[in-house]
Amino acid sequence: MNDAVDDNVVQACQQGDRAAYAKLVERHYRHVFAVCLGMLGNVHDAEDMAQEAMLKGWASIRRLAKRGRFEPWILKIAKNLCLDLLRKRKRLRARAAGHRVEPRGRTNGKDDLEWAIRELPLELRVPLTMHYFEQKNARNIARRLNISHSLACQRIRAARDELYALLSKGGPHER
Amino acid sequence: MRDDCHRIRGYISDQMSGMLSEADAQALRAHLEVCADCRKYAEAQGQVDVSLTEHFARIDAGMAARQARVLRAVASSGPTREANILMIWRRIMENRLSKIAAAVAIVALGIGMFQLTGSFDGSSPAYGMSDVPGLFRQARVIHLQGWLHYNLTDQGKKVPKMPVERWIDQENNRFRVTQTTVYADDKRVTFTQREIIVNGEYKMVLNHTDKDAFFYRIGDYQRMLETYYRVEDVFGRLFGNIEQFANFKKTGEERIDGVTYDIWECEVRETGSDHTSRYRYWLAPQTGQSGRFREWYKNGNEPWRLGNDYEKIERDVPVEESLFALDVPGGYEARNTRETAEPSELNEQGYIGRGSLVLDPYISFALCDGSVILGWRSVDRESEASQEALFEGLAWGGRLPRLPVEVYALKPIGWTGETTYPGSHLAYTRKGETLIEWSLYVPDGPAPGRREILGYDLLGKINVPSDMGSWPVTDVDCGIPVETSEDFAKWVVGAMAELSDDGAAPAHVTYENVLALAEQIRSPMRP
Repeated sequence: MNDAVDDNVVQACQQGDRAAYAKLVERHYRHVFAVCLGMLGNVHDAEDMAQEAMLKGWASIRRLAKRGRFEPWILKIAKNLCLDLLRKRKRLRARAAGHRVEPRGRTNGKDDLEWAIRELPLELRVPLTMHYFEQKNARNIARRLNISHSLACQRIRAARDELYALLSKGGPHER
Repeated sequence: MRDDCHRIRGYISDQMSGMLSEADAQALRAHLEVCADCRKYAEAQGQVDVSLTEHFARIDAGMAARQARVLRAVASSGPTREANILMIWRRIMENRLSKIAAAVAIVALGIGMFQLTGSFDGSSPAYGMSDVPGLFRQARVIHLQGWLHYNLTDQGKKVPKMPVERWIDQENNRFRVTQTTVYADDKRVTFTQREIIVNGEYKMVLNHTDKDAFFYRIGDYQRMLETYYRVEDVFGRLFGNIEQFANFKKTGEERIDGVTYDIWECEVRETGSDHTSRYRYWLAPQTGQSGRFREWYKNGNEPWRLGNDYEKIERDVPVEESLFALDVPGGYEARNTRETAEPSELNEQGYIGRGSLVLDPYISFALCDGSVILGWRSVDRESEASQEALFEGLAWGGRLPRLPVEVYALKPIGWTGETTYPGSHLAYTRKGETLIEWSLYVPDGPAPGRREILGYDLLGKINVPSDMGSWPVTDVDCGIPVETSEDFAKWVVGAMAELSDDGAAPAHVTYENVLALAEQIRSPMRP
């Protein structure tokens, strides 16, 4: 997205103005957090990655040549951080395979739902988060993710179906 | 499970997202009465929906604290790092050998640039890519001809490219354009090819697939509006997002039919997705004439696919009168005649119906100060009561009428800021039995620029008894830009006149009055 308003602010940041960067945080943090939440499905991880992305953005802002393109730039940093984390987790899971995992203790419904959301594949979790957290309708989601309207509807529905199936199984305590 | 359970379950989800038509809602209700499995499924989906809404609302509640933590972390973090180029340059300058190598590279680059541009002789190009949109804006006539590649397969066979042609006579508000509608599922792809011709007081839609023709009557305002939308469509196809012009680079030149064209290229990656477009434009530097335009696209690491391919992009060429003739071609069935043609309705933003409730956002305008005017109506199809009383006592700049669905505010789409645009009443008009509300929406914080957003979400509330709970969020486009009092008279006053029985807008709705009202509304909002 073009961000002509950001242009001057980014220029100030590139001259070391920390207060100017605070403006960028205020303007973009919510979206960065939403992207991380959609990708990771976990509030704490999303908080960590969104914060790391904003800090990395500050540290590297002089490298941003197109000053009006702060938003796509910071979102890309956030996405890459999330992908790194997901890859790291995948490696850890692969290493842990074969080891017996002890069942967890009984958890409450909120924890079950968080677990179930994390279990969703990325292509379902991202539109679900956009729909419920960013309150985007299917048409907006389709536009943002560059998919058809019917596919966006389908994915939101599939995410709900999948969540219900996961929660009906009883959540992580019964795995 | 019954045969139609799968379809019905899609309806349940659509209803939850507020996207179900009344006809489908009826089918859903009828099915649920007789199918216990689907009733159970609907209940389960409802539970998940409630849990998700609560879950994400809890997360949302902590956003301010999270942001404050990030701000503290930034405040206590180290300084910014140097830009890469400076770091590399410093490294180069540290060593005598690398200094010589850099000098050689710079000279070679200079020679390369000289060969590419052929300049230094004072004959530098008169036209660059950034001039092109302006040339088209000023054009009296625009002609575009080429192909659209769908890159689809129909049962294993590649679907052929579809012809595209646009003739727009901006001076006389008339046009002739092709339109292809694609229906595609996993196996089959079908097309409907139409041509729309607007000339004088008629619009003719020629369906080349079904070989028929249909006429509409069209007023001056709509003709002007439709021509405007066609020009915008050409701009969208040719230039996409205007910001791409900053990225265009001259990559070479080519001679076509005796004319030498500069070739300009750029790549634009869409924010938040893997979708990348590559544009190549042939531009004659001395005349600004456009020779050709091609657009490729890809998702992620897929190979590039050709999408738009225009062989003719012309400005101000002579047009044959026969081009805009409204004659039904031989072999085509006329489904009506000019005499029996119905008037075409002014409704570019689409009709939204949920149950018995209807919201019609007719048209929107983006004012130079960032506020938005929206003309809209809402009715409850189950109610026969007149809406006249709802408009009584409304004041200029005061509350909105309590229509069945009230568009109380707008929210920019794709804007990460918190700005909302609460609505105030401007005026209402009457067209037949319909009462149309004209509202002014003024941003309560920093307003995004037109190119920074995709449109506006309409935030609606239901003012009549309904089992819907809340009105689903729907949207409108960015609106027609209104920069001057002339624009205002042409577009806003024109729309109000079009949507009123007496063909006139309320006298107090002027550019100056509306801007003054917006300023008045904005003042108390300022810290």
